[in-house]
Amino acid sequence: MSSPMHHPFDAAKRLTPWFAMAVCALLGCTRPIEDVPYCSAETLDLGPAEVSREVTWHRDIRPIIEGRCARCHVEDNIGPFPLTSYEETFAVRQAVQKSVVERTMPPWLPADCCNTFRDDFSLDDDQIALVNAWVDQGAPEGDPNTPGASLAPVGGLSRVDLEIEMREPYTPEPAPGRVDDFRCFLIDWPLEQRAFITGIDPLPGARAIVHHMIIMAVDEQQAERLEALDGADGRPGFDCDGGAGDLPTSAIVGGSLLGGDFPEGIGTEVEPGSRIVLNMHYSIADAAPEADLTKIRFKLDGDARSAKTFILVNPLWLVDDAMLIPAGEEDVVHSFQYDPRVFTGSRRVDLLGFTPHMHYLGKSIRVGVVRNGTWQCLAEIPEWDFGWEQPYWFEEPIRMNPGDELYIDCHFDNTRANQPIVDGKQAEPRDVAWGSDNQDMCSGFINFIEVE
Amino acid sequence: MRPSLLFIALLAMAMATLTGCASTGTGTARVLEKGESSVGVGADLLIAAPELNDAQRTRIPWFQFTASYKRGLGSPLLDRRVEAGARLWGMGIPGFFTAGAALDGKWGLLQRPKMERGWEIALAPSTGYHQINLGGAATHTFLGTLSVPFGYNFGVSHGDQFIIAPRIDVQSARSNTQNTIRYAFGGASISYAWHPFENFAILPQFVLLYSPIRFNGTLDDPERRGYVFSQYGMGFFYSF
Repeated sequence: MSSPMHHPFDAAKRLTPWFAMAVCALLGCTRPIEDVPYCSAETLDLGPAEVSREVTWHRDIRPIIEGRCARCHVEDNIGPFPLTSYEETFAVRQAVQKSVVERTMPPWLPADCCNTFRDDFSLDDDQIALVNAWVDQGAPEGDPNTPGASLAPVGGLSRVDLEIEMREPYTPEPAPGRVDDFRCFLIDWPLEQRAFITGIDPLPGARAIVHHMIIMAVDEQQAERLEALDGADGRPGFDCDGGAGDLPTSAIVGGSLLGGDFPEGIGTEVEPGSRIVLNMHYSIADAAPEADLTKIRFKLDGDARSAKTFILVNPLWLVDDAMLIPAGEEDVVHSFQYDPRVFTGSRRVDLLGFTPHMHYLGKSIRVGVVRNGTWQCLAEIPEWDFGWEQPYWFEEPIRMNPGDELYIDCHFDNTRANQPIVDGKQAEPRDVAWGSDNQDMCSGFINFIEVE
Repeated sequence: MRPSLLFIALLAMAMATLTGCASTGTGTARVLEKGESSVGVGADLLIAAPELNDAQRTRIPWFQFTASYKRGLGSPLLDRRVEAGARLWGMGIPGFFTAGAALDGKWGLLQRPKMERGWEIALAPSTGYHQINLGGAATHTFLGTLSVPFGYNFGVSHGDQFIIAPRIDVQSARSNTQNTIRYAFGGASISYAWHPFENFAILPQFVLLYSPIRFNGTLDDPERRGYVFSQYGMGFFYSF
């Protein structure tokens, strides 16, 4: 009996899976999460529903405006006009209708198909329909004796224990041809005993040009070095990077423009003699420079647990044009996935919240956990708005076990239509890569605590 | 925790391992004779120092182990000594590992008996692959190095030699999460090959490299902040 003939290709076929495994082991064959569609892309927005009954200010709209808008739209806050009465709201009703229907106001960016968050101040579909119908019906005031039920308050500081402000006003001076000015300011910490910051509420002095701020605490020893920089160039404060830069920070307290309480029991410790560093990002893309004197309100407690922070970014994006966004491209995607055990030391952690960060060209961003090849969405922002960067605290902490990986992807639009206005003219598209000034970023901060 | 430094640290660690290893790399200016072999093991401390802004560099260490094998091939084309070899290096901690391999050659431009005082010169090209894995998709780096080791024989011990080696490194890093980047380092290494025994050498080495690569967002700026990279290696070689 003769042995069967073996064609050379048979051997090759048998070896193919092994070869593929070897290649995968060498080059990495991770399932591309970027192929998983955004959940918001699978949700149809049919526009506001029809409302057949009469909609009035006192019964239907006032609770919505008071509960979701008036936190910012009051005198001396970041809203450009107040919405504290029928008359004030009636005067801008069409702008209110447009921004509500387009979901640009309130400025809540995450998609609710991905995750749920604390202090969600967005409007639901029924509320949007009511606002839309109210304006269409002529914005009737209705009967003040039949007020609607108030909405549960959302966000903001539950109490104010301390308010501090910049030592002196500052008027931004971006470099010629630029729209951004990153400037740091030191503010004395007035308390003489240890305290934990458990909530913040930034109050920008010149809202039109303050894009966002990062609030940091530095101890007395570190502050001495920064004091030497303060005012050294003849202007208040000192130049600093858009992030924390090389500042000897002991703690990032928070950022953005919209303040509020931190999650229960979470805080940042500040020792007597410390300084608060305000890292201000001024943008004159949409407004002329003006003097800014920003204040910060704090909620304080005697004890709390400090959260730590992952920064979710591909470190190699910082090198040269590794995060290239070519001029004219409409949808440039950069993604990154990494194992955070470098920082957690293989401990289990609970993720508490996420702060996304992109600049002008950003279109959308999402982050998630990749666990045994499966995707868990942490936050998805389908319509990025450079002006409304803020932290989003998860409704429930999300457990990460050793081996779970974090993922981020960002979509950029570098066409002519998505360019910032510089010196009154829309800028021409140009190649953009990683950078704080005149460039873009794809990153996120994820707050976490170790599981005890 | 300082998040701004965390990603810089990651970057630096990743970058720091791109250029292979000092301890078992170029080595001496002496080229193995035909039929002679050498095995080496070593450890490297690597310090990357990218410039963060106009006034500040950060310095981040990384550590790796290396191994090498080299063999003298004689002089197949010219009347000079030629050797070829291979190197492996790597290091890993949970969530992060780097690994690489390189093929090395060395061509003796000026050689002399190892106990004869005087200069030796060689030409040492190398090409290799290096992987950085932080989870997800890996970053793949392809690298080429050309160094010219000048070695001075002291005629002591069993062939001690002081070596200075100017070198150029060119690298290309790619992954499916980034645009491919290409960059070059220039610099030199200084080392001393101490032979306490006939067939055994200990080779401490210091490498200093600089790249004018753009870093941290200077794409449209004429300035280039640059990247300084240093390695401190200790290699142990046995020849037979």
